Parts: sequence; C-alpha cells; structure tokens
Amino acid sequence: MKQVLASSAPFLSGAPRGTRRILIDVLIALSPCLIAASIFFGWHVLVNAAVCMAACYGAEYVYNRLILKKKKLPDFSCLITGAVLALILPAKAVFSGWDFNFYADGFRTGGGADNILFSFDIILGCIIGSVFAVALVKMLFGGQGKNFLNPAAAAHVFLLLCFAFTALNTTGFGFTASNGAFLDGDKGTGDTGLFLAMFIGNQASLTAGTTSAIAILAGCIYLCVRKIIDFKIPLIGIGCFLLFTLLFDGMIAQSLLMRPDTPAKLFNNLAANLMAGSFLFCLVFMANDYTTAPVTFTNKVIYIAGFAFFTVLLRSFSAQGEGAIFALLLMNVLTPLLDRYVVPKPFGYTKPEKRLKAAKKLLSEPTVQEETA
Amino acid sequence: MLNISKHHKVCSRHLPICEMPPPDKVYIPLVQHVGKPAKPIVSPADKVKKGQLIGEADTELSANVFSCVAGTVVEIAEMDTPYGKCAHVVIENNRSEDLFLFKPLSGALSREQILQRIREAGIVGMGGAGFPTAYKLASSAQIHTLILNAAESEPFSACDFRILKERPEQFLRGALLLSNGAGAEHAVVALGYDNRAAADELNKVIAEQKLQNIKTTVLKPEYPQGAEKKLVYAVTGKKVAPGKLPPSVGALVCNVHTALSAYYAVYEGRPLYSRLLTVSGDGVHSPANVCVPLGALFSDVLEFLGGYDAENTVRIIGGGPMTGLPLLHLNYACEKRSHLLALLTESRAQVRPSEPCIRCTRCVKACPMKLMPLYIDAYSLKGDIENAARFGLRACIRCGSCAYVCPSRRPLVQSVILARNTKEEAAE
Repeated sequence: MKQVLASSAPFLSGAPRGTRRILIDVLIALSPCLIAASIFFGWHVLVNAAVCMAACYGAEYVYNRLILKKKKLPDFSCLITGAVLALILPAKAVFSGWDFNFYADGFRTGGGADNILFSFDIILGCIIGSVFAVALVKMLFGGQGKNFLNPAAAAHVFLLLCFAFTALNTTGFGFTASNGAFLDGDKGTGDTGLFLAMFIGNQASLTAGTTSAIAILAGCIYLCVRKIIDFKIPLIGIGCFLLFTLLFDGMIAQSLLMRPDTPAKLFNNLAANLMAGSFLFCLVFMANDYTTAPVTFTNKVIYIAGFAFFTVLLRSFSAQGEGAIFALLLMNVLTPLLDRYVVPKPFGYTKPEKRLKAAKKLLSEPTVQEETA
Repeated sequence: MLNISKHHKVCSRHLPICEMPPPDKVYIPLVQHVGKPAKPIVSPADKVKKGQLIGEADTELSANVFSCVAGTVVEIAEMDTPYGKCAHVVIENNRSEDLFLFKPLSGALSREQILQRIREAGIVGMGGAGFPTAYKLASSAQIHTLILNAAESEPFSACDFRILKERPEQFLRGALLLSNGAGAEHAVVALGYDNRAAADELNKVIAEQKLQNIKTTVLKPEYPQGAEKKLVYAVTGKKVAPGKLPPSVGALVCNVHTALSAYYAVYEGRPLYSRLLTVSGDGVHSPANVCVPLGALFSDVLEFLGGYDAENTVRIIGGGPMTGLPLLHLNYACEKRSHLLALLTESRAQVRPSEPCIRCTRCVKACPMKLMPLYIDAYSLKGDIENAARFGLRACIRCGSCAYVCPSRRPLVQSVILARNTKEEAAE
C-alpha cells in the first residue's frame, strides 16, 4: 500500500487546476488590449510587452535565486505585471534627460519628432519599470499576494516621475490631442466619428494599451464569464465614475461657471470622459487585481467608488494628465485599512446585550445629578 | 454558496442496504461518543451474549456500550481510534445466536420512559458527532421544533438516504419518539436536495399512518446545508448566534440514523450494537451501504465487500470528505459515530502542495458563516490568535468550504484548528 496521507479535511478540491488557471485567464483577457494597441500604435507595443514580461520574469527569478535562495521558478503573475506595464506605457517615448531613439535619419539628440523607428528609450523604461515593479514593489514586500501596491501602476508612476517621458503615440487618424483636451467643457460635441474612434481605440493617449474600449470590454466579459472577477464591480465602478463626472465636471462646474449645457453636451462629456485615458483599463484589470483589492464585496464597492471618485477628482482639478493610475495607487494604500476595519459580522451575530441594556438603563433612569439639580 | 455533489458524483446512493455477518473477533471501543468513557463491566474469559451491556455509562454525559456478538471476552486492550487511544473490549465470536434484548415498549409512552430507554440503549448522535442523545434531549428546555437532519450535503455519504428509502416507517416513528423525548411540538425532516427522491416515500407513510406533528421539507442544493446552524436557519428562519447552540432558538437537530436507532430501542428493545456504514470512494472495488456490527474493523468490512485498491489508495477518510478524519490505516473499529468510510485514489484526492495566497477571495465568498478565512489563516500561522479572532475564528464551523474552493490549496481549516489549539494552550 502507498503511504496514506494524513492532513486535515477537506479531502476534495473544487479547484483542481490551481492558481495557474486564473493567471492564464488574466493573460488571455489582456490579449485583446495588446492586439488593439499593436494595431493602433504599431509593432513597437509587442516589443515592449515582450521586453516587460521577460524583464519581470527575469527579475523575479534572480530575486528568488540571489535573495530568497529558492530554486522555484516564478509563476505567471509576474508575466501579468509585465503585460499590464507594457500596456500602460506609451508605444514610443523620449526621456527628458537623454535620447537614445533610433530615428529615420539615425541617432540624434534633442529629437522629439514622430519618425522614431525604434525607441530605445521606452525599452530602457520597460526594463527599469519591470525591475522596479517586481523587485521593489512586489518581492520586497513578500512576493505573490503580499504587495500592497499594484506593481505595474507603481512602476508607471515611478517612470513618469523619474524620467518625465514624452509619449509619442500617434494614431492612424493623426489625432494627437492629449487627455486634457477632453476635460474642457466643450469637448467632442456630437462628433460621432470621434466617439467611434474612442470606442475602438484610435485615440491619442499617454498609454498604449488602454485606449480601446471594445478590447477592454472583451477582456472584461471573458474575466466575468470565467468567474475571475465579479461582473458587479466594473458596473458599479462605471456608475460611480459617471455620477462623479456629472457632479464635478458636468453640473456643478457648469453651474458655477454660469454656463448651462444642453443634455446632449452633458452626455457627450460623460461618454468622452469614460472612454478617454486609462480609467476603463484600470477598472477592469488593475482595480480587480486580487492582491491589492479588498476581499469582501462591501469593501470592494467602497474601494471601487473611491477609485472612481479620486480619478474624477484628479482629472477635473489636477494638472496631471492621467488620474486613474494615481487614484488606483491611493486606494491600494487604503485596502489594508478597509479589510481590517470593515469586517463582516459572522452568521447569526447579534449585538452584545450588555451594551444595549446599559444604553436602555441610561435612557430610562434619571441620573443622580439631574435629581439634585 | 457551494454545490459540491454536482462536481463529485456519489457512487453508493443507489445501493440497497446489505448485512455484514460479525467477524471472528470484534474490538469494541469503550469510547464511541462524546464524554466520559464507558466503564467496562466484563473481564477477560467472561461469556457475553449479543446485545449484552459490556461498558456502562456512570454519568449522564456518557453512553452504554453493547456487544455485537455472542462469545468470550479475550482482553480489554488499549487501541487506536481516529480520535485517540481508548480501551477496547476484544470479544471472540462463537457464532451462537444468544441474543439479549430489552423489553419492547408499546402504547402511549411518557417522555421519561422514552428518555430512559434511549439512555439504556446507548444511543448517541450517529451523524458523526456522537453526543449522547438522551442527555441532549433531556437537557434542552422549551424546544419548539425537532429537526431531523437528512441533508447529507457531503459527497459520498448515502446511509441516511438508504434509511429514508428502505425504512421510512421505522424512521418516522423513531423521529416522533425523539420529538416527544425532547418535548418538541413538532418534527421536521429536512431532506438535502440530493435526498429529495425520498420525500414521496416519507409523505406517503405520513399520510397512510396518519402520523401527527411531522412533516418533510427539501433544502437547497448547497453545501453545507447539513451544518447545524445553517439547517436551523433553513428550516425555522432563525439564526443561532456564534458560540450558541440550536436550543437557544428553540430548535434541536438530530440525525436520521439516531431516530432509527431510537425506534429499534423502544419498539423492538434492541440496543445499539450495529449501524449502517456507507463504504465509498474510487479506491473501493464495490461500494456499499452495509449494516456493520459495532466493533468490526474497517479492514474486515472491506474484506467482506471484496477488498479495495491497495495500490492506488492515498487517502482513507472516516466521515465525510469535507469534515471527516484522516485515517492512517484500516485497523480501526467501526463505532457509533462512523457513518462513512471513503477511500480515495490519487486522481480523486488531487494532492498538491499549497502555494501562497493570491487573495482571490473565493474563500470569503464560499464561507457560509461570512468569515474571512484568508486572514484567519495568515494570522494563525503567525501565531497572532487575537487578530485571527477578529476575522471569525470562533464562529468557524469547519465545514471546509474555504479550503475546498482555494486554488492555492491553502490548508485553511487546519489553520483554524491550529489557532484554536494555540488558544486553548494559552488558556491553560
């Protein structure tokens, strides 16, 4: 007879394929965004994604070997970090300090033109960002499931602040407006061509992989069908986002400016706000990141509402072009607090009677001071 | 909520009850219940009859133990049980049919008469808990509803279903005995969704026999509908507070087999010396629902059934695969608490090492008590019991839902047990 195992119950498992299935599903869900990005911003996005994923895997492998002295190979979660990071970075970029890009007429300094053939700057950014994300943000805090910030989001902000890169995302339509342009009161009025472009992803953006609403939607539906995420959470997030946009950017702003808008204009404003920038991508792929999101449904709703609130706040009032990733990091930091202090009451919980009785006693009996007074 | 039986098809539900002849030697444990061990009242070389008292309960919280064979006592030996070591009375079977029975009762019975007989016959909770039934019925005041737990929400378990199918009348009359014994106004047979096929039989008997104050209800196909607190909520709509028992809301839960044993003890005078055991799992050649004399070794039972897959069996489970005990070998005696023996091979047991938690929150969604198992696990492994308690350590019913759904294979239930043990040690 074989050695009989003696660990405690339960002896069956409802998840025979383990975490690997979940991680692969997330990678599959990210692929429409990657495809859309490579269509609109060129093959460079694919190169970026490959470099990021390889660098993330390598960083985790080296960290495991050198610092943890473990021979175990990293799992797929670092590949997800790499893919997400590549998607929230521009396809090509020029760093403010140097310019290693290869242009149509060779290497040169002080460029900034659009005709970059191969962007060594963004490749460098990908590698630095990946190592930062995996080694510092993830592994240093305990690795898989322990990091308190989304590694890709943290790396994005790190690169943005340290290297102040200029994104060079040109599209087929030659449309190069920044996100900021949409946030003005008179945006995109009735321009259906613009909305279609935004929906399929043909718009300028600081980030390469977050422009295509339809690709994000496809990924989101896949994740919901595979039960990786709860479909209610993105819906609540979009609802909150529209509500806060209406308040901050729509009604309040306009009533303060004494500039009443037509309902059509308000609607355009909302739709443009929703599809511009990286809010949708962050909502589906990063705010639903298991590690940095709270665990109960109530807390998830609070988290997602806070994420939408800060995104709109940053978009409406800050000079920073991109609000969603900063808002996400802000809510990441709040997650441990939410989980600690908003704990569901166990089944059958009743309020302690002592406290109730004491409160009733206080209410019913007049106190001594009152009598003497 | 989970629906486990959907994923793990049961393989012995359709099999009729078969009788196992007592083996040549039986090892009758003196602890087959919760509470004080029964005191042995026989000594080696004594002749005993089948059904004779061999271990006496000398306190309320204990239970009488009877011989399942006629023969000679060989020795009283300390042996392993799944719960720890205890004294076993070893009896050699002489194959005679010397039978000792109580005087069957009939007519209108008072509560005291019923309780007296249940106590005498050594009846305990036979769904796995082993709490002395008479003590449970007597000590709870103001019971409104007696719930017969026929949920069997764990995969593989089938013996309750067979009782409902094959002995509906005896069961229902036994249920009424328990209901009267508890002073309850009425009894409800709570059938698990997989047991719903038995509802028609039961209702037919209720109508034919014109039984009063008993009805059946079918539960939702969820795990763990058989857990006491969830069952009370499903039947009465009342929630039992953490740390409280069902009598606090006027309900009492008894097992199906307990009711059947009460019927035999009261109306036929037969003490509890045999029980129905489901033998199942893919490691068993021929799964069965078999009536086993209490004291027969599991290896004898399997031999009677034609053996098992010794090559590939990696898990032997006493009790349900979600909450049962891991057995190290088959040389344990079948006792009042054993309702299921499951043998799993590697492909079904799916043994894999655990990985780090990825916080996927499946455990939180699966928990029927609305706890946060991932935090209980993390804190209990750190030894931080106070914080583990914040996330519901006390309220855990150890149903195993969390560990069942965990894709990282975290031993979540084990962590709960660890934390509780650490807490107890600290208290001492």
